[in-house]
Amino acid sequence: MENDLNLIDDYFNNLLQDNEKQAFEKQILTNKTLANDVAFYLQAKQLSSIEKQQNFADLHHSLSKPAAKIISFKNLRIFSAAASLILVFSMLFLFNNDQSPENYASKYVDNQLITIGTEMSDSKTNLTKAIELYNNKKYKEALDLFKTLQADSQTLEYQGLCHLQIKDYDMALKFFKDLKTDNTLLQNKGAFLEAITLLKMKKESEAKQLLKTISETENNYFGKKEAKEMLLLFE
Amino acid sequence: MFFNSKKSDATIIEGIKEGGIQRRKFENLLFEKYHYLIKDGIRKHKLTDDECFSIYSDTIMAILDSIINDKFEGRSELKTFVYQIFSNKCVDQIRKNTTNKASVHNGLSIDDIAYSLPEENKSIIGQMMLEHDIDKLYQKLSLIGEKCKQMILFWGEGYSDEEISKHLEYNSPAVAKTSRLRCLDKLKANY
Repeated sequence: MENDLNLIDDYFNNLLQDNEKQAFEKQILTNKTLANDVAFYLQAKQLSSIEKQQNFADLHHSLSKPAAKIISFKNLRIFSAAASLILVFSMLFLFNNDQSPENYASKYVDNQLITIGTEMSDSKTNLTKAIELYNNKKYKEALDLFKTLQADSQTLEYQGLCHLQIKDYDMALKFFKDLKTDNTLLQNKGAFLEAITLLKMKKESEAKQLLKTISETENNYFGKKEAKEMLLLFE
Repeated sequence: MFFNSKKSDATIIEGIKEGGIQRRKFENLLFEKYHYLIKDGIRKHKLTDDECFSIYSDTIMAILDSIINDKFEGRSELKTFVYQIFSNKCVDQIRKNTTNKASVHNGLSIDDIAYSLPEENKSIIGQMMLEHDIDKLYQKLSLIGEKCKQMILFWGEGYSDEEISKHLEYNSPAVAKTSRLRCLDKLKANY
């Protein structure tokens, strides 16, 4: 199959000699498998257009939502007063609940990072087995299995999470820092998880700086909303 | 709206030409900037929201193609260029609605994507492509890993192996090509 794809790729990139080209075209007429692979190749090349159209459809949907109504100055004053009251009560609530960036980070680890999502599948790969161990809080065993898998952004993240859960923060930091440098991801969780780890290590100023970067940068960082929320909790 | 600081056309064009993972951001900015044309199309041409969205989306795809392939030379303003293509497509749609003639924006035909194939090959391949479910193939993209997915999308956008090797940090264009074909093979196996 890979050889066929190579040949197909060379044909469409005009890398074949004239006689090779003619032989290829002749073969398509008689070899159904090759013709099928050509059809697949051409369709795969169109996937970026489909992805773009899908993205535009999502964008259109969000841009077409009704805009906020214009409110009068009188109403604006009433709304401002109400908003101030809500803010005061929120602050009281926050202080009463001892809301600090460290607490936020701990709650985030306990609530959001307690499980890793996995696809339903009949076949159990080592990846799904490792995720299952993680979700059953068997972090060390999960870590051992994640280590055996091919090193990619996903396994970097999961290994970092295992270290985070067993409170081996230095190692967690190392994995999240590596993950942060992967600029091929559509959304990179590395920086945000690094900030969470720094807060668990009580390195407030470093975490604050990183959260600021996440919330302000135009990079594809995950956790912008959460970073903004956490920044409000710093004194 | 006061806070919506719109980028200039020159910045958007530059960002799109720059390529890489940041290109998507500038494509979206372009889409957002002239999105109001959809409402114009509905009002002026009495087309439906779906029709106008589809026409506008095709317009932006055509503009992106022109920018990336240096076909947009900047002789007219980008705004005028977008408006002209959009309006022409709206008129084609009105004609289509009234005469039931050939479709204007049903994506690329076999002639567009396989122009180098002889006619008899095109009909065979075209028929096979109709039998394949491209939406299913699109869903399978998520199963081949983020890097493979990114690579196939870059390739589909017309990036050369040299550009892919640069953006995705492969050692050489040849390595990028081998990896790209492996990714395609992986996608096929999942399909």
